[in-house]
Amino acid sequence: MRVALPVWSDRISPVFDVATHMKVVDIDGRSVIRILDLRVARSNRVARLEELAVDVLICGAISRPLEAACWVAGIEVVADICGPVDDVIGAYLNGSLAAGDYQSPGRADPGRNLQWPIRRQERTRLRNNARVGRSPRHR
Amino acid sequence: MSHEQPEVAQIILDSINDGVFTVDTEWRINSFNEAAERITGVPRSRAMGRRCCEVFRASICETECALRQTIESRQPIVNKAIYIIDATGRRVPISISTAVLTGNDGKLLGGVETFRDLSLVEELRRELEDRYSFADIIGRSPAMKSLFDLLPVIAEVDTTVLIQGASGTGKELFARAIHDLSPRRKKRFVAINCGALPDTLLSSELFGYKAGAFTDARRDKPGRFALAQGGTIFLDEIGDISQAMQVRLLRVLQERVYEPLGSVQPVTADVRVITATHRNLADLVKRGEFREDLYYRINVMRLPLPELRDRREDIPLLINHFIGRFNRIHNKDIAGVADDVLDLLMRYDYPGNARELENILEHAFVLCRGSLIKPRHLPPEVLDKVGPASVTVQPGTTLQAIEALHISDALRRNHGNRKAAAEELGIHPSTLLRKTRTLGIELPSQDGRSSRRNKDG
Repeated sequence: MRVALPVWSDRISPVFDVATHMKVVDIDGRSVIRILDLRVARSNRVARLEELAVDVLICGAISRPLEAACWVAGIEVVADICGPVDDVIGAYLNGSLAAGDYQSPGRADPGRNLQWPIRRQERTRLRNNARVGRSPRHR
Repeated sequence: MSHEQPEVAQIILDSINDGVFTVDTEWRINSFNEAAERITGVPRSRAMGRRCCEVFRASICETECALRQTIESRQPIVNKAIYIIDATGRRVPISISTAVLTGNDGKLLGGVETFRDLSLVEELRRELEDRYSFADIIGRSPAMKSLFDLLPVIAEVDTTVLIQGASGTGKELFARAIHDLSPRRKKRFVAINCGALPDTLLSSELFGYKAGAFTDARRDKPGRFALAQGGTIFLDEIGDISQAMQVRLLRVLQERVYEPLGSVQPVTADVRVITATHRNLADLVKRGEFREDLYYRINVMRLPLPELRDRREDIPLLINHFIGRFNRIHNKDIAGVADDVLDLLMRYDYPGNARELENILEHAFVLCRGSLIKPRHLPPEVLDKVGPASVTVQPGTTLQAIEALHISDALRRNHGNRKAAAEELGIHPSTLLRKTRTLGIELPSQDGRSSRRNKDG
């Protein structure tokens, strides 16, 4: 599986929409196989993630249109995350990313999240639809 | 009393309608008012003690943090336009101002950032932009407004129109707007540049040909008149066509019939003709290069388009329009142009008109990696032609000082030529001389006239 994390000063970049660098991490089970450091162009971010066959994007703030575009492209978005990148990767591997330590203070309240235009079931459906036809290596 | 002071400060901060937060030297938030909670969607309890970039989530946090710049340079930043992503993922346009916080001993305590929600302003701006645009043509200058008023009237009647304007003034946009407003809008709008094609090719392009008309004509080819049947044909650069072609066009306009090449059967043309040229057709007629009868046939309704340098007030509007379009095309997020860029663009002469402004901004878009277009992103020829900003008026400058600045600037631009400088300023040369004396302006050592004389000699 391939995970992308926008990075700024060794921490998760505060805003994905304008992030300039990212780490792309290949994960097998619970271990990291390879980490790539890449520059991110200002344009066509989602297309770049698709090109890199990224499965999951772990980021800080992300605007609605960009998040929707990621879900439509079959990329799972774990938004409103903050903290040192290495710690975040570790927390993702051991399933503790949802813990308060890595939740951005700027995140939405759970109640507010329900007003989000693409609801959770819809996001899953979009993701599953988008994944049909993608190379099995990245499923 | 002393322990009451923070509470009083918080009450004061909460009464302000603008968002305010302060940070310590470690960039951690140590005060966050109610308006900040409302604009960001982040409760104070969650914001306190956290890194400002993780709470504020602004477009500039990573690359050009205003607070960092202020703390490093000790210079405040006022009303910088950016956007933040609020707790619901919405992009909120805001303007920010920053200042340094120091203790009584002058020791750095941190910084303060105030910010104002511009969502409403942005909505109003968009509404205004709609009011100042007409079918993709932008302008609020009196010249453009009168054209906007004229367009629906011209569109309604089915007469021939002559659009006269220099290159890049938007002749095709106007032609298209007339077509889109006319009863013919459901049929095609066909444009052809008559100046770009040699006579024989133009003839077959306009009128088409029949199979067997010449060696390689294996099939019938419909001409542009046939394609535009029921709609509008736009003949650009009509002043560049040959005399023979002028005769053929005159027949189409007069009798509404034409014959495709190799055909003996006349075809009726139900087409509205809009013509355009950058040349002065009346002069061409006088010189015998353009047929008088064709001139009067196409000059039924004339639309003279102003050059961009004659409607400079539209430049900021056009800049916004092009930036919005390029943001969409290039999937970028450039907020606008820096003040000094706007100053440069306002002073540039635009021989290529709005198209040149569009090209200048596209050039800047390619080079610009930040959120604001800076002078270094502009094409060098623009910078060379305009030169550095000359007159900068600081708040509090007296009228006399502004006058002195403008006069000395005009003299410098005209290489000391007082007559040319006076003409540029719209005053008599003797008034200019009087003003230089009363305002104590030092005249340049170089005199424009003498240098010209020397050159001539």
